[in-house]
Amino acid sequence: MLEIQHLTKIYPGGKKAVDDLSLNVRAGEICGFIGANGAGKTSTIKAVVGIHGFEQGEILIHGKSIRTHPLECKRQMAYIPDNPDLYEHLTGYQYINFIADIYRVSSEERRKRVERYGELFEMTPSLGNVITSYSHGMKQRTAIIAALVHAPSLLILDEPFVGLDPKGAFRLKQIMQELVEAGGAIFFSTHVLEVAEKLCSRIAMVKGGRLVVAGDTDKVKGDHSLESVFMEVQKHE
Amino acid sequence: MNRTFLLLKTQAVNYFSLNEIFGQHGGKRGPVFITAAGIFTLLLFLGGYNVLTAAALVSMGQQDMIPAYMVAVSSFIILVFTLLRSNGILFGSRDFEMLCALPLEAGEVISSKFGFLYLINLAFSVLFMVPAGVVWLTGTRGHGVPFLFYLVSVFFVPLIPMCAASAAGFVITLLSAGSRRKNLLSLIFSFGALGLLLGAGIYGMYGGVKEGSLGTVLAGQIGRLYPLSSWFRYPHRLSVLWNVVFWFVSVLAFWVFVRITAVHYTRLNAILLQNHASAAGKANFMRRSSFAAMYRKELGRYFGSYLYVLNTGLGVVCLLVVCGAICVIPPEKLGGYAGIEDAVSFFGQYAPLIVAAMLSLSCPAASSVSLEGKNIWILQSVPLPFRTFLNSKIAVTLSLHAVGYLTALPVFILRFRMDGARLAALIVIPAVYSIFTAVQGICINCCFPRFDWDNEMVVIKQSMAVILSGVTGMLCVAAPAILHWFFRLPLGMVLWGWAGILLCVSGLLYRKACQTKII
Repeated sequence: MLEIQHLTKIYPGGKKAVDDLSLNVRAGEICGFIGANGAGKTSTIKAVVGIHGFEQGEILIHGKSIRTHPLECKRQMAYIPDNPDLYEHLTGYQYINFIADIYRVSSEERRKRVERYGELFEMTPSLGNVITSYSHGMKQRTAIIAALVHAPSLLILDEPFVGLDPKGAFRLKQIMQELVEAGGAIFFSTHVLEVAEKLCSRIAMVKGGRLVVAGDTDKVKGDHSLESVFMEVQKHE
Repeated sequence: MNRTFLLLKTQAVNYFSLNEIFGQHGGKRGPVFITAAGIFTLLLFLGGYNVLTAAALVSMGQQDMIPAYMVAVSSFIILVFTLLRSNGILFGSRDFEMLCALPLEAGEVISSKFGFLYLINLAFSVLFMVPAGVVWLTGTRGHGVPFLFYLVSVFFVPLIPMCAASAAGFVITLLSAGSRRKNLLSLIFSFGALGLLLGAGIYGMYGGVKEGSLGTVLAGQIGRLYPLSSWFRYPHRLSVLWNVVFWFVSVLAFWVFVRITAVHYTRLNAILLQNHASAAGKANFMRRSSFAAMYRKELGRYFGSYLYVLNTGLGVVCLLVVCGAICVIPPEKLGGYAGIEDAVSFFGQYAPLIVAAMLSLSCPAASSVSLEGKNIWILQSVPLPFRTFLNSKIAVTLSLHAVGYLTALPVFILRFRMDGARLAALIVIPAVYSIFTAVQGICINCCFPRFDWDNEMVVIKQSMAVILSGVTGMLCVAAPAILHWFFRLPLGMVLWGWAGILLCVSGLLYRKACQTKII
């Protein structure tokens, strides 16, 4: 579903943020993307969702290149950034409707999904208020509902659990499971290794822009914890 | 719904806080409503001013010049305003990353951003052209059909100047995008473009041939200011067809602009929003006072924002340009460009007010508190005395003024005849205005802070504090001139008396600002 082939991203000034990174996420998989701060996680994610261009390599969504078919690719996926910058003077409903309009979601479907996810994240009473009045967690939940409103088959999340309370985090994990059970795929970055260990079927570790470990979670960690594997990688690679 | 229109509608609701103004959605309605009321009042004044201008043309027997005059002036103003705004709305807007992740064409995004700028600028063409058009219609007979064509043209007039200014903004962005000092380069290019524009405008209005009837001179001036305005003179019935040509050219300009910019839009925005890692600086552990630390932070914040400097530094930059012009152009010739007789005496007499007026145009303090935005928690959570917070922001405005003031002093002293009294006025009066401008700006911003912005343009250009502070500054500059011109009071006495009042008011406003609870 998501194929990253030899991705290299160089920022102006010459800094190589991502270096020859290749990775596949198949349907039914949750892939955790792990790395220290500045390792290249967000740069990779922004390249995948079409925010950043890249110098070398290719990114394919459902076999189509994000470079040559950006609209088709984006229609299949949804992106939730680490710090959602929403249109703050819209109400939650207006923002979600805006996103639904962009994805051309029918009225019936959007009503069903907003009701469901609004209830699940306990946002229904607040969605009529302007986003400026929301807490960070509420903004994060609104961004999640908006991302799910068009039922994406590929979900890309950058640090999705930051700012969510335990209940919100639980609900998000539940939704992630549902999405992959329905044949979707999820690629997300996180620093919460316990969550990655329990939730992900695959793990990719990145260091200095290069992919250093990738594979099924069980194989990657073996008899150890993911935390000890991560610390080992940071020490030796 | 068309996606461009959907984007446009969403941006308009968000940018103008329409939910807070018209609805009860849990937001703070009051301050936004006051801002909207302030803008509306200003627009009303502008409309009134244009009615008076048109009436003056009618009384001079030049009513047929009204359409061309209004098209030229509104186009010129739209050109300047778009140049000040395009970087921030069209390029480098904060919602770029979010929009990039959605299935939208670059053309749709840029059309919606351009449409949004168009909506703002349409206000200018409406306010200039409609009230004056009504005066034109009532002041003449038999202009029904041309009036209708003129009225339809109101919707097309913003397009060409917007395309020209946005293209200039696009080129400026492109030229400076690759540089580590892109803000500085953008500023130099932008101020250069503005200087060229204003210079061309002044030369167009006053620098041409001045012989012939009033109508010929006026037609020549308007034509030089905006050549396409000549399509809005209606000597015979078929002249209205030129209006149709104008509509076609306007739409064509818009189409070409969107086509060209859409090709580079994503790449350019990505470059604009990327922060260059600055060259590795040496670790500096020198201890500073809290004021010095705040001042350095404020100065960094000021020069770190292209929009902030461009919009609040304009007065000082104009003063520097005037100083440069005074140095190289003989005062008599300079006076000729501005339509002033006996320029040496005029500049000598009004120098303190000229310098003060330009300093009053630059008031970073009026938006400096609001610009803390969501970062205000940092200052609220550290043991920083509120006076230090205020003083650092005042100090930045004074520092900016000092650049203009210290340049203007020697230039004016050396180029114009000044006795002791005028010299003292030149030294003291602008300094008092500078202090007053900074203090009233910070006080008003403390009374009307706005931290919930998501585009700094909102607080820099159209927040309640900035509008109120700008109007206060203009009134304080106009007051001594009005007292001198209309009540025949001696200028020197008026200036000194007024300066005394401003100083006292500054003291009171400073006390008032200190009593507010921001941090």
